[in-house]
Amino acid sequence: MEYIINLFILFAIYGILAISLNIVVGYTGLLSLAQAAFYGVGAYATAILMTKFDMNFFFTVIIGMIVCALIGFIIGAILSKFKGDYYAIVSAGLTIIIFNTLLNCEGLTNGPIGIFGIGRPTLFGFSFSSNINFLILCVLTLSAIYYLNKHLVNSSFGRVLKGIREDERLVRVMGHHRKTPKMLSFVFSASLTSVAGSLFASYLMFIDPMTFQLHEAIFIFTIIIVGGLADLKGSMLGAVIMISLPEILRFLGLPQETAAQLQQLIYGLLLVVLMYIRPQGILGKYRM
Amino acid sequence: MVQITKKYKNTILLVIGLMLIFGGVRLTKQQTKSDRQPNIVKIGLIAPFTGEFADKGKELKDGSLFALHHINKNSKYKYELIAEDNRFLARDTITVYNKLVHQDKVSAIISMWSTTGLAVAPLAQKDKIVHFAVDNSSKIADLDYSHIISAMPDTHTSLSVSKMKKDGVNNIAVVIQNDTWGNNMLNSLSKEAKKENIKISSILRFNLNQRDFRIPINKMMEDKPQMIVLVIDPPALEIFTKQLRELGYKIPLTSFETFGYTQYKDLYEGDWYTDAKDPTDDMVKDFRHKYNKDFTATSAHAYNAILILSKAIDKLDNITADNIEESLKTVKSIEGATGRLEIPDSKIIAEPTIFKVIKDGQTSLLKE
Repeated sequence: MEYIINLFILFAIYGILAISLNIVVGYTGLLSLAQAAFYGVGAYATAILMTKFDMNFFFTVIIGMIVCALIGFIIGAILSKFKGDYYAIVSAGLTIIIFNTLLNCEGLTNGPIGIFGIGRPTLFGFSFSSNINFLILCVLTLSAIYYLNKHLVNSSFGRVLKGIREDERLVRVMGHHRKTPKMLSFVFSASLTSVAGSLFASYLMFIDPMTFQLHEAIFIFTIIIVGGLADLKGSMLGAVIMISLPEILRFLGLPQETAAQLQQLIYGLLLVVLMYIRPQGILGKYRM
Repeated sequence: MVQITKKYKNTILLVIGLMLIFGGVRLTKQQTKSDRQPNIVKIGLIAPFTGEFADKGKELKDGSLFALHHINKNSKYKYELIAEDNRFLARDTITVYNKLVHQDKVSAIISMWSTTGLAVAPLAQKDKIVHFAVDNSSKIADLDYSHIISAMPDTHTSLSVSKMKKDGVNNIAVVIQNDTWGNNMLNSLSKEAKKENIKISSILRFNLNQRDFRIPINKMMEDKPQMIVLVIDPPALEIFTKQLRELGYKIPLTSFETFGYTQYKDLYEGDWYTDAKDPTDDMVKDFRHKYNKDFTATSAHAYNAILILSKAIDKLDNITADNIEESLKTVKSIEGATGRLEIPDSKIIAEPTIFKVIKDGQTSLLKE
């Protein structure tokens, strides 16, 4: 049962990451690869504040969100000048910069050794130390973020974002700014991503910079492509598929000598087949 | 973006649903099976078997299987290894850990290197699972139920510094890769060098993907070090050395273990280094006969970890983590893959370290 609970916790954490990214990629049409950077900043904010300042987890989440929003604001202002492939390259650059900062800023982040002994959350004496309680917290957070985003994409601001995705010039003709909504969607996404980072750090109780590299950004990107662009339920479905598929393959009874390699091969093949027959993702209505 | 049709959506959802059901059924069946085998002791192994470090993970698995091949001939229990690939990712480590502990019901876990060991240690303490990390980060052993086994930084550096002192080396430069191993070795080397009044004139620290060292090499050589200590893995190790030689510097080099890993040993002709003690000749021969490959130091660490665990577990009738921990305290030494190995109470099992030298493009023992 604990194994299943662990999978559901990861579904929820990666669901939050995917929903946050879908706002930028699916709804605004911007190819962002910066998610791993904000994921890392959120995780490190919680890890540092909980271990060095003995701060409550929930305060660390808020501080992490503020820090990510500030970074998102600065980077978003620069990124809002770009679109398409250029946006992807510059945002990938941010992930690399943050990774190198986490790796080399030893006094604060402990460098490559990482931060050890991060606690689980407590609230008014109630502890989330057991995995089932932690799962409840993750599901509640995911639900809150889902409904917040649902409200956002159906609002007039959400329609402007979709307009930018379809035709930026048309949005300008309609009298809307182009750059401000692009930047705001980036800032909003960054601060929500930070929440997933905080949950991950507290769940694992240990973090090091290796988790927050470009390959993690690509993994989160793959989740929304598989689940479907511009669909919040698709983001959650994508997280379930991308996390559970390798786990299902562990139970195929493959020969032990080559099991790991075969699992990776089948995993890759399934994704290729899926993208071939359904390029817009399972629940998506659009493709890049 | 282009809007397109809803083709195949329901079929894909149906296939995914069926796969999840299949996974659930297999999981339940495996659960039932694992509950029915009282005389079998399962040991979990978490290591990368795919990706960048797959070769090291494979060495660990081979060493573990080789240990079980010997142990199962005359042990009280039948020991089984369940090896799972974590791709060296934290996300997979936690999932694999939960599968091994809660699904496969392993009695102990072996993990590889600090990224995995540091992630497993707090979970093992929480779930009361005995954990052996093949790594040298002492932080892991600070937690309950976690032990480390490897050639420790202090063993390497004290040996290395003693030889430097003997050879009249008073000024060294250190080149490290910015990872846990590199930093642990640097901390230990700084401490040992200070004790012996050896000056570290410069430290060149770089990230794992760096490939051009020419400018920092020139800067480093301005301090006129008598020797360079290379705490780097291939391929950066060979790239650094080639660039150093191309720039015309003929300075002696040394390393901890890594000269043994490189295929370009002629680059280090005449240079000495410290390494974990080799497996005994009988072990090497037996291993080669069975697997047709070399029995490496990493395999030997895994072999020894499994052997220590089996010695402790064989003494028990009721196998619980607390009982294993108590029993481990009574195992004071073993005749392991590298010869006699002492087991201290500190939960830090230091493999012996020796000098080696590169001679005629081959590694050989250096008698000191």
